[in-house]
Amino acid sequence: MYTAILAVLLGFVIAAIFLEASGLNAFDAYSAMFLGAFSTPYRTAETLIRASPFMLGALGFALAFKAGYWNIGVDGQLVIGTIAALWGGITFTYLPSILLIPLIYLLGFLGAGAWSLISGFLKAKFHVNEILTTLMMNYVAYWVVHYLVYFPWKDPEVFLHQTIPIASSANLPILAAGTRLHAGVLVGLGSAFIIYIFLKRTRLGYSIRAVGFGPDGARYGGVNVSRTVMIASFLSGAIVGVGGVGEVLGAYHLIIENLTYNFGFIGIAAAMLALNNPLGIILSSTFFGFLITGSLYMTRGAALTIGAVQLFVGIMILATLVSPLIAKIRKKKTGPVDRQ
Amino acid sequence: MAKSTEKVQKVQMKNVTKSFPGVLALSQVHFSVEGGEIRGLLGENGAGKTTLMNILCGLYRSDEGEIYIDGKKVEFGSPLDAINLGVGMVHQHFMLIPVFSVAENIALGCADPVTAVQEKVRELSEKYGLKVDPRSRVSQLALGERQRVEIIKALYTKVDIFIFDEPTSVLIPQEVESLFSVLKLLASEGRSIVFITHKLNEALQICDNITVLRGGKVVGSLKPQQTTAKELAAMMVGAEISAVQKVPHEAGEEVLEIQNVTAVRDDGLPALKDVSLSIRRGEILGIAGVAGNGQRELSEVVAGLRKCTTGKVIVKKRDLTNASPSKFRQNGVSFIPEEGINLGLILDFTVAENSILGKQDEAFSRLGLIKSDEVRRYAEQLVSSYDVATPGIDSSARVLSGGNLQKLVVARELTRKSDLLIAAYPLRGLDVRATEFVRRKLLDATMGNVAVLFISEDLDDIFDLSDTIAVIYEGKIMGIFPQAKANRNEVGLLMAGVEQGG
Amino acid sequence: MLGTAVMLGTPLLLAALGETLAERSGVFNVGVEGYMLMGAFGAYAGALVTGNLWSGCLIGIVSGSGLALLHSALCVTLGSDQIVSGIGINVFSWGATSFIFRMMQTLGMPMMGLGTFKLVAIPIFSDIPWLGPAFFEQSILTYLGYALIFIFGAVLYRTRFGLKVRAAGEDPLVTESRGVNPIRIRYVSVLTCGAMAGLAGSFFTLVWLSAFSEGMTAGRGFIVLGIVIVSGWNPYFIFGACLIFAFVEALGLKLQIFYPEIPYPFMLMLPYVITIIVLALRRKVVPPKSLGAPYKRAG
Repeated sequence: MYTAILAVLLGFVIAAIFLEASGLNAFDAYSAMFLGAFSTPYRTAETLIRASPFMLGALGFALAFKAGYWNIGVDGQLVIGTIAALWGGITFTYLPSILLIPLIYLLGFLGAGAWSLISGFLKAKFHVNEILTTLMMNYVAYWVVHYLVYFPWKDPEVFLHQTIPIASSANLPILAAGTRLHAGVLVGLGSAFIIYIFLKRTRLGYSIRAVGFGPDGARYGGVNVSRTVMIASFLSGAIVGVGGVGEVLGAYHLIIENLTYNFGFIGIAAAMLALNNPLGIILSSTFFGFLITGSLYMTRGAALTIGAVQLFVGIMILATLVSPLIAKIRKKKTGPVDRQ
Repeated sequence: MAKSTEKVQKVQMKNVTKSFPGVLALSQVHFSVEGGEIRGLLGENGAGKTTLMNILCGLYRSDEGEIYIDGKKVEFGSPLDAINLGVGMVHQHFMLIPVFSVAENIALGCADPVTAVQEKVRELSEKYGLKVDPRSRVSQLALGERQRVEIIKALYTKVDIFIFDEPTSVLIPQEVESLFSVLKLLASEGRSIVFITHKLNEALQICDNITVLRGGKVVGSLKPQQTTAKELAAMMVGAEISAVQKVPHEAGEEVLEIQNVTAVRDDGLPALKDVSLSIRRGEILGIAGVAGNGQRELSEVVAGLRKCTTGKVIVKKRDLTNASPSKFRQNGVSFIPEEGINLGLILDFTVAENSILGKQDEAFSRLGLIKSDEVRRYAEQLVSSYDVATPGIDSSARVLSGGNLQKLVVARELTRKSDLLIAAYPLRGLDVRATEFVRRKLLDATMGNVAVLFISEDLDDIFDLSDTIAVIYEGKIMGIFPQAKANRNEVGLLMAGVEQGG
Repeated sequence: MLGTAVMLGTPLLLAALGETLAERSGVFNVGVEGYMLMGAFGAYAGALVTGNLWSGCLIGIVSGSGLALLHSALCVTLGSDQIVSGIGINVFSWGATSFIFRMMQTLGMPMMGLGTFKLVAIPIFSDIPWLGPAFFEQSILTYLGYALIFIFGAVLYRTRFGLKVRAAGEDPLVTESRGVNPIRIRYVSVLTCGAMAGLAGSFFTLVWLSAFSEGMTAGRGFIVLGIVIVSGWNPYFIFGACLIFAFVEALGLKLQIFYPEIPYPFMLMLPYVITIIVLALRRKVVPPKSLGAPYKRAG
């Protein structure tokens, strides 16, 4: 926990340096950020809404990481989730909400899971490095959604490149009047708890962690390592897909290009900041939600913010690396031990 | 410093004492070698030979004692210091890069370009009769050739004190002969040679003097002409006969039968050659042998963790050859692996989670959920009955000491109901009390009609606990006898590869 | 079209050469994408500020190296996880370049670049039928790339330094036992990778286009990772691998023009799909044994 807080503070300090260097007052900027994120119920809701896909992205990454699997394709899986959601929302319009929404969630779950499983399968059976395959799948997903947005699903009545909206029966219910806080946020929170329990308390969770911590010991303990890796990659992508579904059904109701661009990487950062602990991810993804939402209200307007946010995220990730090392250095100072 | 009448010895180690946590490895050891002498350092595994030499080459630091080279006291801060003083060790596990050629390996870190290295290697190779092609890739070399590369690597720089750690363990007889001529040549140049081995006949053949270590102490220093193999074997293994009484009982039906099993090690070299064994209910079959002669691979084949290239493994009349580890477990096989800490446990799991490793599917889960209360109860029970020192069952296994980790593995495997228990070095790392406890538990298991495959390097344990003793050497079973009929010295000889009748 | 492929393959070639050196020494540098982007931006900004394409190129190289320095401090000296630090570097690079780019915009600096390096035809060679114009009517960067293939190959396989690099990647412990410091070797190789990737990045803003856009490297750095694996960490094979991927990209561009019925996104995703397929097929490659493992000195 302390390392995380240290990392956040370190990140703020470094970012402040960048801000000052560009002529902004860091203090003003940061206070504007806080106000922007929390000052009204509407804005707080926005922060939570923004945090939701980060949360699910982080959870997906963390689950895979527990199995020793680097799922860097989180961004692409989010996109697949949005695609599945949109498809469901414009195809099954005859269904009532109570059936439609769970169905769409299922589609997103399965679709993104299958997308991720491709890389997982290649790793388990052919030992292909999953870092590269998941990364590549991101770009494929970007182009798939680009195609869908510009061609078959393009909304002819609107000048901008966006898809037709989903049926209103697919919209997620709003939780608090006067805000945009949708039920998808609850799905995110619920998932964090479910995954926490899953990892700690189920046989499959046990197997996944065994494979991640000690594949030899896992094999000794009777775990089918390659099957477990595939299952982990599937579940990982599936969880992320749920996040994508939430964005479409709850927040936007359609897809614009680059709707969730880089949200997956922010999710990865949130996971690392929380040391891949599902409960900690709730906090860290809310933090990133705060960052994004708050920075929309920062001084000097939106022109600086998108890049600044990226910068911040990057600094955060790097900062998370530094703090455990400080701890290690402190340990080294207790004196040399006779080598064995 | 009076110059006495005795010749100033090249190397002198005096009063060396070294202990590791819980273990006294060396106690008041005196060891010296003259220039031009080949001195054998003989002893069983764990006797302290490698530890002593690691101190001499600067890898370890002794707790007490001094080292003198050429009459001057020296202190080693690191292996580099020892190398600079002319100490060169040819390790058992070679420090070579397999994808490089011989010349490239030697050229690494040298000022000479690879072509010059090739030339000099050829010269050294001819001079010492160490046939090596400097341009060949190390990965394609047999172990005997790789050893020659290590020797040339040491010769490339100035080495006056050569230490060979079990050099013949990877050699075929003809290569052993070549190695011996090299050793004689090196000695004739005035270099001091230390020859660590557990093989008696070789020590008798090549050494000028032999020092025997047992349990960290020097038990004798003699010339080959003054002794025999039998005497040396007795010194190595000790003449005490243990007084533990085993309760005689009837052995039941056959639980395990392996037929003509051949298997390879991880690096592809042969590990088991046409091994056939059987064990019956209530019987303890002890496998005696110096570690590294195939015991590990044997235990893994019988537990489903290693494939055998030929042969059959039959458990309770079912053919389980090459079946998965879980299949073996389902058929009542428990396994305490040799590398208990790396293979039998997952260090980043908690003690509780480790206590159900292997059984998480059967007894401890329902509908996919792990019954955590039962797990906790079970873990508590294991920890208390086997006296495993741990801050708590929820602490990570990493904080436990090696001995307690071993206890945890033993506790887990001995507590489950099984038909066949494979125990590979189960007493390693245990203190006296724990050792007694586990030995008793092993005997109790036989009362419960369990068949036990017991692997140990300690002949005392083998003789105390086993009903039947099999000796393994270089992957082959040298002999199987009932314990009552077995003779310690004979077994010791078989362990060292000496065929019967020698 | 072959000419386009060679042109597009140039940044891949340059970055892959650097990445090969880094990976050979044991560092799995996922951050090469970030290095390239930083180099692209540095070259663009540098050319604008100095008014000179050559110095812009130089600044691109320096930018890449600077980022590499930060990265290697984290993962080589401090021993942090190579993959996580690589991702962090990538995101950081994206953010930093976007941030400064927008700042330049708001400060009212001129946005269009100074133009590009002209294509130069090498006499005689460029007259070879069919192959000539493709390979020998290229920018200076491409010719530099050709030369560097042989330089890298020679260094890696024939010099003492190259031996040390390969040793550090195979077994840093054995390397250290021979008195060679694997940490220092890895530093040098990662910095070189930074310089090469920076040079590769400058291709995008000084040859292909004359402007910068955020994230313009679009994952090509990751394709470089695939190229290095597929060519078996051998500099001489890299050009071939680069051509395959660049060819696919060029094919995609061409198909867009001639077959407008097929939606262009499918063309543009081809390079990425091909990377996955090639990786799945080429399975027998043996990486340096210690690739990806941070090393702590035994001392």
